[in-house]
Amino acid sequence: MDALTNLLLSFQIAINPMNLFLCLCGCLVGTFVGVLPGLGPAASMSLLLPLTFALNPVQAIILLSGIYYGAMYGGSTTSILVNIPGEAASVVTCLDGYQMAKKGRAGPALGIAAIGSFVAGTFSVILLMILAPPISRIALKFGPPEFVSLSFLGLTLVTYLASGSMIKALIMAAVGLLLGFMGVDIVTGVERFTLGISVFLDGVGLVPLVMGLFGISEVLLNLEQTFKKADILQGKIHNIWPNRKDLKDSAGAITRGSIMGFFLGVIPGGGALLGSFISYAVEKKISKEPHTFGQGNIRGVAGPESANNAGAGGAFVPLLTLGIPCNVLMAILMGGLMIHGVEPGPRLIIEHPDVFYGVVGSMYLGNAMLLVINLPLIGIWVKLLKLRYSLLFPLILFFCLIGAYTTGNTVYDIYVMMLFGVVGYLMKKFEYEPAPLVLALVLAPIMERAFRQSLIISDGSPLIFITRPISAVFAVAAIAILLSPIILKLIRKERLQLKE
Amino acid sequence: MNKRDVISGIFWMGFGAVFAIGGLQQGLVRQGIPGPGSLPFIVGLICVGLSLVVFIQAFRQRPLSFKNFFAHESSLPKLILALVSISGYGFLLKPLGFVLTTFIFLLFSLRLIGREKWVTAFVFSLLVAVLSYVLFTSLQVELPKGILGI
Repeated sequence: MDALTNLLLSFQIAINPMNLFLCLCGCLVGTFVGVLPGLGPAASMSLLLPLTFALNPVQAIILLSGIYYGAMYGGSTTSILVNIPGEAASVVTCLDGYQMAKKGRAGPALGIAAIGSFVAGTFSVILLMILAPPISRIALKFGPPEFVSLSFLGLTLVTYLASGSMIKALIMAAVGLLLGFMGVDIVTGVERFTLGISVFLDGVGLVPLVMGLFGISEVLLNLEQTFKKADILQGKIHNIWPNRKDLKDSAGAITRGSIMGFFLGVIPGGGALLGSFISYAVEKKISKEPHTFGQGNIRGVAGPESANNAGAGGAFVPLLTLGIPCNVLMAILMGGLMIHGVEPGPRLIIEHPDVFYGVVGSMYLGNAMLLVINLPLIGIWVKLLKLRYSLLFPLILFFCLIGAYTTGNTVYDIYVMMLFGVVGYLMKKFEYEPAPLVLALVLAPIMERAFRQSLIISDGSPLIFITRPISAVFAVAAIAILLSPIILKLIRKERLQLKE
Repeated sequence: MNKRDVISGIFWMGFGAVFAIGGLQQGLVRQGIPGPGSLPFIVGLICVGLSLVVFIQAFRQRPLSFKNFFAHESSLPKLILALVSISGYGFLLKPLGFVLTTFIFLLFSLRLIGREKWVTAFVFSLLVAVLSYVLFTSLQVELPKGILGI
């Protein structure tokens, strides 16, 4: 009964005309940036963040999450048609999707990607609605020490799952925390590391930072390449609907992708990306004909595409129940909610049920909208791909400039954005990942407050983090993850010596 | 030796050190409770330690120099032009106003960086500047007016 009332509540919020309109806008913008290589969801969500200041928190999160799952849909289109992933979670879709397109089966590939995404998206929203309330009830018992250890565990997981060196990812997390400490200290009111610049009194702005790291740096990296036209598949795409055999072949892959994707999406650092990779690996492993993967096997499209959309839903769980963002996009959502005075965490569902159920309801509808946006309108999205980069990059830069300026109506934010654009460019060249930095930046103020509250409770003894049982579990898990690469190395050495 | 890791290791060591020292000056403990400098000091030290590991490991790694740092020989001038146009936008926005600055910015990037034809660049810039002005004013976004009053 309770679940039914909640479901009705969520639909009631989502069906409000303004919310419906914003959900549609979000989905359209999301698909747009998902299709466009060079402007990812991170940059565009922070771009639209200033525009949401005029909205209420429910409307803001509906718009922003629309962009998020819209981009997950849109990313598959470019992977299949041009062999260029529109965003990171669609990388594996290139492998079989593009091969299918080359064999004249672009239609079914796009169709199965959309259907898989729809099924998985809906599945993940249902799980989100069922799982989130009990998780937040447990988390309500957490005190400041538990939050410190939990955030610490979250950051460790993100660095552990980072694609490059773990030490470099840890440095990035530390840098993010340090940048997050800039500005007026919340406990004592002391100015810290502001360099005497008034813009830094509130700390480093999330919007200029994200747009610099993800928008500007991407343009700079692309500008280095000589402009060449993307190799778009010529000819009309016909027969979008997969045939009965295709559907039968993909059903298992979609189911497995949805389940794995959701639970991997819940893990901080996992997000949509990990799910899509693992789903592909699993499908290939259990297939009777693994050699057909990479040559246009429809399961290689259906599985990962379902997984990345289910993961997108899963990532909302830790954000809306614990206040821990799993990935950069969730970090931006969190930043957006905090600007509106809504702090994501265990109290969110109780204090702002409209925000939680608004997201849930609009995700149900958004998934249906995306199916409509993606399948019949595919021609328009393909045309978009033909826009040449020499026309595109000034537009991207211009959007970023306006986005940065309008966050605080000051040109300083433009310079901050440019600075982080250069930093992001250099990070790429020096092989550092920006994601842990952004997550740490968003978590820093909350972590610091909880850290200092904990030490006040314990009269200054840091043992409080390991003497309270729940906190101890988190802390031990985090330390185990941190040490695991070293331990694994030692075990391997030992084994080698035994063999010799 | 991985020269890139040597450089980046040194950089982040310095970055962490600045915060650690700054934290020390802000005060680690105030009236018996952790002060404003406590966490910056701890995290700053962690950052220094981790960067030291990157720095030391760099000496045992595959050689990686700064050769081929840029994708093409023509990359650097293009990057500099892009940064000039971005900072130029920030510099001119208040005095010149939104429409004029946007137009100049787009014209500059399209023609000098993107190598579009003058005509294309001119028409495209004008169109985007005017359309975006209409869009933003209808969304009630506040934009600087400058000398032209728009």
